[in-house]
Amino acid sequence: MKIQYKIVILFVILVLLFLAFGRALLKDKTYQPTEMVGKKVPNIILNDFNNKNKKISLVNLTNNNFVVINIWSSWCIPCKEENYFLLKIKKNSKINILGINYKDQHTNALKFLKDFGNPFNLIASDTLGEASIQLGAYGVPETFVVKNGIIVAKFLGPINEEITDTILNLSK
Amino acid sequence: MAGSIANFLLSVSLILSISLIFLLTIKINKKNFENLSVIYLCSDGIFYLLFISFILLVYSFIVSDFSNLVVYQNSHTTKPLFYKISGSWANHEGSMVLFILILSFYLFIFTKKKIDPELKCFTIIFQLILIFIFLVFLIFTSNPFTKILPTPVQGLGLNPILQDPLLAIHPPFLYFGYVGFSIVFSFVLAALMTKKLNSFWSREAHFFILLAWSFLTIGIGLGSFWAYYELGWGGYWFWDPVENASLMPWLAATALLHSNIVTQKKNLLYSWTALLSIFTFILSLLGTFLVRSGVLNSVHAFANDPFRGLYILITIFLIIFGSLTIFLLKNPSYQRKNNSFFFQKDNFILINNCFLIFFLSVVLVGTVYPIILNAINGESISIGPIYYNSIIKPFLFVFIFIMAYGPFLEWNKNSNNSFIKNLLILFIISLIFSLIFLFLLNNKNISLTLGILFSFYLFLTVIYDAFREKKLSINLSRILAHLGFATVIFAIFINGYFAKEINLSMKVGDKKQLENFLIEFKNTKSIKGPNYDQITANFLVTDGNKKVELTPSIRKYNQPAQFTSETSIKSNFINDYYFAINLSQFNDNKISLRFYYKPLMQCLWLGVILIACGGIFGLFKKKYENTI
Amino acid sequence: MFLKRIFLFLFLLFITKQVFADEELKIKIFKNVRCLVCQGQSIYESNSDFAIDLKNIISKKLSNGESEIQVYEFLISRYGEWIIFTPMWSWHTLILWIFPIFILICGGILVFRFNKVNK
Repeated sequence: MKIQYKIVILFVILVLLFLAFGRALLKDKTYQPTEMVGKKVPNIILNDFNNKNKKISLVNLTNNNFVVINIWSSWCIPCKEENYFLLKIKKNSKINILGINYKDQHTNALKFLKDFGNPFNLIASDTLGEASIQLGAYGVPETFVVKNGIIVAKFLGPINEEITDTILNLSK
Repeated sequence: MAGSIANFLLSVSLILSISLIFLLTIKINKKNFENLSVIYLCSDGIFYLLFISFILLVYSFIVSDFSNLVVYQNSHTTKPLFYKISGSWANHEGSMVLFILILSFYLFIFTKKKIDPELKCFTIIFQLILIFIFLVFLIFTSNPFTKILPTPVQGLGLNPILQDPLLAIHPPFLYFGYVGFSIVFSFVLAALMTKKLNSFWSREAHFFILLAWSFLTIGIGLGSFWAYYELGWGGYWFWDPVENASLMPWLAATALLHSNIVTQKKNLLYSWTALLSIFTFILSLLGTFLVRSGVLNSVHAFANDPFRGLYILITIFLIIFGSLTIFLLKNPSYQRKNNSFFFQKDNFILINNCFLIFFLSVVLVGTVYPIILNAINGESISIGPIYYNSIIKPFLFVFIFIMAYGPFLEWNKNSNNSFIKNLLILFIISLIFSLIFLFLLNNKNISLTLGILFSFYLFLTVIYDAFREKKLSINLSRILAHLGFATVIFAIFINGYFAKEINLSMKVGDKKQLENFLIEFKNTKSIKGPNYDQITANFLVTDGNKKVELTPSIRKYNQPAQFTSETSIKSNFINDYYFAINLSQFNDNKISLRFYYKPLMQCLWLGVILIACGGIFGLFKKKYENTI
Repeated sequence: MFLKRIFLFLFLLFITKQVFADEELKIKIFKNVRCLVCQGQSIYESNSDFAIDLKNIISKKLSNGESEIQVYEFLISRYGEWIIFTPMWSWHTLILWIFPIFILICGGILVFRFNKVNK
């Protein structure tokens, strides 16, 4: 093989590698697992936040329904700014919002709702953090949009103006 | 003040390096090699300038000059002096200054060598280009002397995990290793350009390869030792991408070291040695890129802005393309005839070179492929220890077997001497030994058996090798290094299969019998350190008739306010007893702890030291041989 | 999925040591699961909320009699392959095995040619 060809091949390989590395470099490195999107809601039974004897079944709740599931906690700072948008959703539509209170003190959570407003139609407690793992979440806040028992979208971190609009569009 | 002087000095050295490059290019074009002493003086000047600016940076750290952004971000007045000094290279900007300083340091020693002027000039040009590229990077993207106004009263402090004597000296050693290959790289490109890649080149390069390789060995060893006692998870090697980044140049350099010996002795393998010289440095750069650019998710991840990464990436690819093009264009394609047989030393070195490159490719693909895959189709995969262990292990045994056999062969004839016949006896001895050993320890694992068998076999052959020569000093370098390698492998296998870890939670006064250890939590003690408060827990571990006192502790650093868990390790050469406190999970006055029983850890470190000693001895041996 | 399962099974067979005690199996799994919050570490080495929850769930699953593979399958179904430190068998991970072997074969050919040329 002629040396010129070898150099060209070398050049092409390097450019391809360069593009791959460059893209990796500029990419956001936060890992967003999307495994659960498009799947059925896992069969989880949760305790009601207000009444410990009452159980909430996610499957029953979301069956033939449009539900936004929001994982929150009073100790989570981004949850506070997110609360505003959740209230907005509640105000502008008839969407059911289920709050999952993640590893929280009951009194702190009540205070949070009193201070910032309660956007949730129903609140469940996840004191051990197991339900959020079943849902494929790994932190607070995370938001799932469920349509007829199927998870159609998932948002990591606090929801904002843009995500609010997306959710409102999904509900139509 | 110090900052502006240093900034000025950096700019002067930048200008000096670019003008020297021009000057040298003109000289080479005219083939006029007179008055080189001016050039040497200037290139020494670059070293001195960079050295002074480095000292100025250290000085800013010592006097806690918070008008300097880097000092503000990484230091604090209450920090002990030692960590103020080491803090100057424990951050991105400072470490880049060190990087460039070492680049110019190697140029500094290189100019002192007596070498053909044309070859020397070319080498200096290539090295200056590297210095120039990284100086631009330093000054324009990560300037260590950036000012902040108004001057803050107090600094943000250094991450407590980096406040450790070993971590203070680990990066310089690693850099002396990594960057040391730059001069080999420049030297080989110069030799290719001037068609002077010959046994003289090989002999001169050998010194630099050995020097950098020894530093790198020590650097990796220190890093591993630091991870072992500071991170507190009982492990010494995590196959973390940053660790891999330092292992890759080491593997390439080990291959280079050996192939260069063949080149020296037999005038063979020139293109292979040249290629390895280029790749060793490229892999060092890749390591720098991986660590410094923030492309990784890693324990070590240094968060950085992507444009720094992009600059390093572009320059690395230009360096790779440039050097490989020179290699392709000027590749020495001469072949020499010689009578060769299969059972000959050079052949065995070449075979093991293949294995080293194989190990290298495993580490490379495991480190880089997830990054590339994610960039191409967004899929994320993780590659952990199990992948590396399972793919490397089977080939490691063959590698060790050949490594044990090779030194007994001759350079120029089909060897069939009495030594080789004795190797079979040694092999049988080690087989019996490993079987007895495993019988006593009651373990029937095949891979453990093989690991003990081959490492012990290597051990025996190296000892035999040492005693068959009349004069030990001739091969001492090889003997030490190979002995060290056998020790390391033996320790890794024993440690991997016999280490124990126990998780427990105890309160003061508790006594627990777990497996064969009786663990007693005696009391706690509070201590005040220079910039932290510490609570120490006292434990007494009884293992058979051995009693070991262990004192793990928790520290609360004042700036940045952060908790660290300090391990306590006691060793009696054969076993390490290791205690660490879990940072969270305190309940009912109980603390939760991890207790590790790690056999032969000391042997592992001893092995690494032996390997490095082999390299260091080799540096002196060469001089000794030359004088006689 | 079936292929993956077989592969995972074979892989686990060859893993460093056979695990006897439950506690050891647990530690082995913990070390093989990535803590997504701290991203570089395994959940074994992390004390974040997420890691603690995962450790609890895995312990529960193991005491319910689920096997190591079932635990991994559960985690992958929730968080994707990234969470397991051992790469799964699929077309895009094939290169992890092929590339090194390819290099080794190339090396073998070069050694062979080196011998031939010299003779």
